[in-house]
Amino acid sequence: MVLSLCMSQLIHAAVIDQWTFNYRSVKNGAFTNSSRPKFSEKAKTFNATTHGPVDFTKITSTLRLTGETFLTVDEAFTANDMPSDSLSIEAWVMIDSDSAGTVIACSAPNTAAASGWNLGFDGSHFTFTLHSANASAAIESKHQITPGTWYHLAASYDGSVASLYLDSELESQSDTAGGPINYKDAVYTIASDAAATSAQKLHGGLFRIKVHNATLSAEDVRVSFVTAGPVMSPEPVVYFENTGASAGPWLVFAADNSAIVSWETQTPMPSILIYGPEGSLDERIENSTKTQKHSIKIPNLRHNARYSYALVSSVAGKEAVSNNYLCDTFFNYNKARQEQSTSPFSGKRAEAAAQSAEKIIAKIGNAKGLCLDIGSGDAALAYEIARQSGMKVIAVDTDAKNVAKLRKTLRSAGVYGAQVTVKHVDSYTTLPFKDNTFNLIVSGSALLDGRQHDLTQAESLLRPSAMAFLDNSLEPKPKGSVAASADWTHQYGGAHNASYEGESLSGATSIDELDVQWIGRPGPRAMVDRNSRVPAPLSVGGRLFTQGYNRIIAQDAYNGTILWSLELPNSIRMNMPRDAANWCADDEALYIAVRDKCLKIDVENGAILSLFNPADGPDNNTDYDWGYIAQSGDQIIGSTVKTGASYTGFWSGENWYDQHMPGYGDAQGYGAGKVSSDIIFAADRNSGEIVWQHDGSVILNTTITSAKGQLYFIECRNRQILKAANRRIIDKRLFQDLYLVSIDEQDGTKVWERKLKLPSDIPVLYLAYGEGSLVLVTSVDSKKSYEIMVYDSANGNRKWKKSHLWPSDNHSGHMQHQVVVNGMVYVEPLGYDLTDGTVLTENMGRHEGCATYAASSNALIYRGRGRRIAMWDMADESFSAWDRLRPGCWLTTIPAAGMVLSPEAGGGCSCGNWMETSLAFAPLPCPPPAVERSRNRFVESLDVTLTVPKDGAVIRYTLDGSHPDSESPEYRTPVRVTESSTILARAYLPGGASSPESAHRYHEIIPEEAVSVESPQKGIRYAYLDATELPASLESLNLEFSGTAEYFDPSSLDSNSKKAVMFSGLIELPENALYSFHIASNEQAALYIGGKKIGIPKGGSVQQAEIGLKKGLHKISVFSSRNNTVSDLTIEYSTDGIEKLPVTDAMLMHE
Amino acid sequence: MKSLKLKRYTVPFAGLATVILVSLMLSSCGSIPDGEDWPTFRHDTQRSGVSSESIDVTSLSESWAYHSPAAPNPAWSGPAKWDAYAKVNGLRSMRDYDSVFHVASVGNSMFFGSSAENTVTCIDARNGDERWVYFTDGPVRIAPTYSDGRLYFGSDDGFAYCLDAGTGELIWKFSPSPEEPLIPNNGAFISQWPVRTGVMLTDGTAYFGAGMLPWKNSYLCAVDAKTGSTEGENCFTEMLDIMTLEGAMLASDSRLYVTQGRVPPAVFDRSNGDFLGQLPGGGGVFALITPDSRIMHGPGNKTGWITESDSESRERIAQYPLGNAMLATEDRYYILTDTSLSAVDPETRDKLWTSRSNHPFTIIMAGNIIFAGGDKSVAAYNADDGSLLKTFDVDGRAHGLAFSRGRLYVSTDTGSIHCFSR
Repeated sequence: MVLSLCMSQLIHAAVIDQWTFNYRSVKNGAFTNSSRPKFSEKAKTFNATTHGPVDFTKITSTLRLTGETFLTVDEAFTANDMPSDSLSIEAWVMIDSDSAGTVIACSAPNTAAASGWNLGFDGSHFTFTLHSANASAAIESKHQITPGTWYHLAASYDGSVASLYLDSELESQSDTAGGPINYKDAVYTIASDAAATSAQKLHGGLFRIKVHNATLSAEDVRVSFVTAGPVMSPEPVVYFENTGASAGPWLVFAADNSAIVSWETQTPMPSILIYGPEGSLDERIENSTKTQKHSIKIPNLRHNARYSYALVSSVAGKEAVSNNYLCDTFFNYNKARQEQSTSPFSGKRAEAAAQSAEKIIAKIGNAKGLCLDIGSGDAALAYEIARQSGMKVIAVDTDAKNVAKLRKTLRSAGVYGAQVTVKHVDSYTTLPFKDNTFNLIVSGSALLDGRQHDLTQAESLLRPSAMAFLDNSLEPKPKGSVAASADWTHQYGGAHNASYEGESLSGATSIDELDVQWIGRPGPRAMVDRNSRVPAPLSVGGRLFTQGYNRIIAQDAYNGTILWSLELPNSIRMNMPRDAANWCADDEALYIAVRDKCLKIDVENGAILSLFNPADGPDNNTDYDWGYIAQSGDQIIGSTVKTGASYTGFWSGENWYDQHMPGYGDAQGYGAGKVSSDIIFAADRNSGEIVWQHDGSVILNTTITSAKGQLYFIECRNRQILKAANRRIIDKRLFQDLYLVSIDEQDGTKVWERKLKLPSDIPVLYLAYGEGSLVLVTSVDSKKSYEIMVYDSANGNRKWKKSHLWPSDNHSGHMQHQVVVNGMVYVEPLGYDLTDGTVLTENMGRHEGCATYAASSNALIYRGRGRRIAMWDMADESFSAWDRLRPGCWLTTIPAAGMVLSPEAGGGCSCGNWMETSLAFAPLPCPPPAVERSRNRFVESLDVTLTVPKDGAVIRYTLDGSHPDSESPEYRTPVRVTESSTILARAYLPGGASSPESAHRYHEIIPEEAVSVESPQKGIRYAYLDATELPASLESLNLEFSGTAEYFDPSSLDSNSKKAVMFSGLIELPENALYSFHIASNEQAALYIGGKKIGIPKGGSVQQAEIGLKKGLHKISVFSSRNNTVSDLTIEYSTDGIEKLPVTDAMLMHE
Repeated sequence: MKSLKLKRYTVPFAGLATVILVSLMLSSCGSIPDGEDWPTFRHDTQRSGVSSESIDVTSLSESWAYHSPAAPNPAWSGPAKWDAYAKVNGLRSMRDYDSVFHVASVGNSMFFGSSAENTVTCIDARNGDERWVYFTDGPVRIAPTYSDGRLYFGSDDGFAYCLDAGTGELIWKFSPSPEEPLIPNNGAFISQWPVRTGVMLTDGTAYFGAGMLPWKNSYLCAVDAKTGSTEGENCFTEMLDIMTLEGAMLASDSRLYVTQGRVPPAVFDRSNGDFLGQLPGGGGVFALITPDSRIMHGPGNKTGWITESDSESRERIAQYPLGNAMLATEDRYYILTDTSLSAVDPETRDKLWTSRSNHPFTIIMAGNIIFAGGDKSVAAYNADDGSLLKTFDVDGRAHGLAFSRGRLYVSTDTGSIHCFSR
């Protein structure tokens, strides 16, 4: 009774702000303020808006904070809303780091201003500071903070004494302040102070915060602590991923709408998992068998639903709960398969089909993807292949009646569409599918009935390395690999970092030479936001691997089939310009670093084969993670990096990672710190045993390069840097005591080293290998330039050094990665000769938007004009781009497997019209016909020249809108169009293969009639104007002409105070044509033809427009500002048949 | 530009067969309940979602349910988790036109297309029995349109189809696109010019669009509904640049409106297919034309809004934040959000009433009843005051609703179609 009375008084008297940080109280990113205004002197209540991810990670559903998120109280808040004489703050908080930070503050952004108050922590103790007009108080708790422990923290101020309580115990008091609190420029924030620096954000958890406009007594604090106690977990939270030898969890979805969650613990214990619909953890699954390798199946998950789950450790009868994780069945890519369908076939024939399918599946091994059944017979084999393997089968048949029958049969079995489809075709030799598409090709009627078909097209339809079974011998007919196709095994192609790995794209250098091979999943929902510069996709053995938001998706690169996916919490890594990627692949395995482990994953099925530890870090009291990773021969090259160095933040523009590095160490420099390692090592790729390690320095991750058995990197040996706690380094001393080092990868012995002298204001630096050279590229902030230094990889001798201005200081213009290909080094905007640094091109395709370049043998692939995915032909320096396709902000479109692979990466851009889809583009056997000219408007007639896309090809075309075929007219001479028309053209190769159709549209422009003037006079009249800006229209002017001039020459006119001159008269044009006019001036000027304004140049710029005009006289006016001396007003014209010519005196007249 | 197209397939004597077979169908269906048909996606070419049919909602109960062996296979997956750069949480899908098997219903027949089985199916509305199934070579994503005994729809195989509605026999099919190999798309094989607009019928002309790749041409077609021919009055085939035509088309007297997914809807001259511009307000495939010729569309590019524009001038009139779907009658707008259903005066925009609602996916109206689709249930509200009258349990999320002749059809994301009737 006494207790409840006290609590009631407390609430009624004083609570002005109260936020409870659970999922029920957050809406649109803002936590509701649940204080009751009627009990408050304050008229308003302010919600708290989150800045960063919102994650409720505990069974008590408290807000989990990872140093990325903070909250601000509504902008409407002012200092008048905060009590200054009598104040108390309570916070239920858990701290999970040893750095300093804020729980809640009402203080000025500039700490020098000394205003307001801050309830926070300094890394070991809780703190409370406040500032009155003339003095301050700063107190700290007696007890040290135990990370992972929940506390009730209370602070009060009564106008003279500041008090700090921890779990209701009075810890410290101070009377040094005195007087009303000064709130000048104060901002109200939670989990961060007003400066909101990344280093100061709270890492831990928040349950509730209350602010009172009264001074809580010790008893008030005790009551509050006791009454709120039961909702808090009494046990410290155990984070499995932070416990050294433990690992996980990882989650795999199954076809039966279940998910299997696996994890490992340091000691044997029962396997316990709790889960429920998102935000709840009400269900519990337990296996009492003690083990270190845990696996729990969550059954009966709902279609497209989100669940929370958490792991429970149980040691000596005491349980603790992990973070909670998301299980979103939207990402169950296995769900379409119907495991338990009833076969519509029976008898011996069905048995034969089942046995044949079994043998085929056994022979091809890991059967996944798309199967084509050519001449399917009764489709029994197609059905069995789908049932036994999960492949999607398309059966084709030339017998329309049989097709109808099969469709009904399979549909009645419930497998039509999702597992097997049937299509009628005219012929088995002209099947309507892309080459290199199918993982398996069979012929049901040939295998089971011995029927003979012409199956010669089968090989081309098979994807590389796949097999066909086309007769009852069941002997596979394997297909080889695509000639000249290449893998993309590391971030920049290979461990050499050249951004080129040998992919030729069969010579394709423009988008017209490529066509969609497949389109579809994954879409944007699977991905990290586009801005965060995540690791590049990889491609090995015809597979495409993409990292999504804490997940890996493996696809068949040739048909987009999702082969497997793995939900992998904590795997996100970002800011590739300042760190190394977290993954690489070889023919057998994918290796991915997740915190303090490297997971070795089977590339075929996603099974986790092994967990490797990095080499031990130098300090026993420091946590380390696995940093860099590369595969080389039988070894994995790795690095050991201090925990927390890698970038994982993904919320807000700050995580765009486009910063230079102005103001080292301040908020603006956030994201520019270079992630660096303490140790680099080699581990056996099978056992994970450390073979050798190199330590004693700080190694810059973006420079680690492996090529031809040697490892190269830049290391810093500065003692202060070595001693520093952080390995996301923004200290300028990182660029002192620098060495370029070469190590033998087999035994770790040093081959050579070279001392480097680099500037200290480097936004990015990269090392790459190509053709016996090491290419070091740095950008230099003070010079706004790139420096390119090339060294002999054998001995470290410098070959050459060049420098050029960077193209821009934003959107990655200042942080481009080099491309080393074909004896060239490309660093935007220049291409250098790798041997001597000669500039060979200045016309490199310019990037737009945040991304960097990859290369095939003949083209650069990047984000180009219009911010689209683009190609730049190295030979003819031409540009092409796919409309409405955008890459992510770094390197997300790669040339590999003989194709351009572009997994979705632009997702989340709410301001764009991007397609948001994954695709692959394959080279065309024959590109479509192009035209030699780009003009598509004409007057009277136009001759169109088509270009033959390939030697020996014949172009056939139409002008009537029908699609051209092999019977259409053959193109021999330029096509004359005399009215608005579309030329549809298709090229045919000898043998019958054809290009896609190309469409070229031409619009007839009806020219404006000439004016009829009797006896026109030579020269053009002029009038002075007071206007300083361009007239809105000629009609609005009432010109009083001052005279007649021979030409538009303002400098020849009288000097007077008028600001502008307008020439007006007639121009005589020589023919009916589509005219382009060009105007240039060092002043503001405009040209009017026939009353239409067609150019507004400023300061020498030139604009032009096309206008159809008939032969004869047309009205012309020219406006020129006279603010300065007009020195070079020129007017020129051109037509389809006339190169640019000046408008001459002889052409100018007046009425 | 008018053009002769090659890929048109016509079945001889189909017209005569149609008359005979529709008669057979009607006679075999027994008596047809009073009420209104729901012959196309959201009832009509304005996509109003409104039927004038009066009903006693308390008398409705589940009479049958159809369960597809496989869930719908939507064309696109999304939306993105968030726009982290711009700090926008809760992005809405702008391409969710095929999350369920939407239905049309005429007489005692109900029709739907399947993105899982590549089919169009006719169901006996009285008992849920299957009457016929027609197979195409690609997913069918938009509800078929019934007109004059025929059924029209589009498929990802690149064709627009016309069937005899009574028998499911093909009358004609037509593709405006060139013949190119099919491409894999989430396990299916589709044309690079899929017909994802459905087929819309007005005044004897069938309208549809084909194309999804902006770097290739797309096609807007108006063909003779009887023959599928591009020759004839009001017929055309327009080749378009940088467009993605997807979602059910709409028509006013003079305009065609084609939603474009992540791009604002495109507006065309209905008489010749000339492109007139885009609507303001961002992308999305929800759209309707109000009785006073305003066009609503959404949910836009961020957290959801419905933009009201003048259907002729395309000028923006208003924007309704957080709107997922709307209805428009002569004197009221009804706006559905994640948490509420509201009635608004169209002129003053004053809210007439607001009811809390946890049925956020879609709304339709029959007589005085508003049905709202939710997760595992559908709610019926009194349109006069927003009071909740009844709920109906369903399997999955109810993104598709239709009402015809006393029957409420509910399509869910599990591939189920529930029928509730007297």
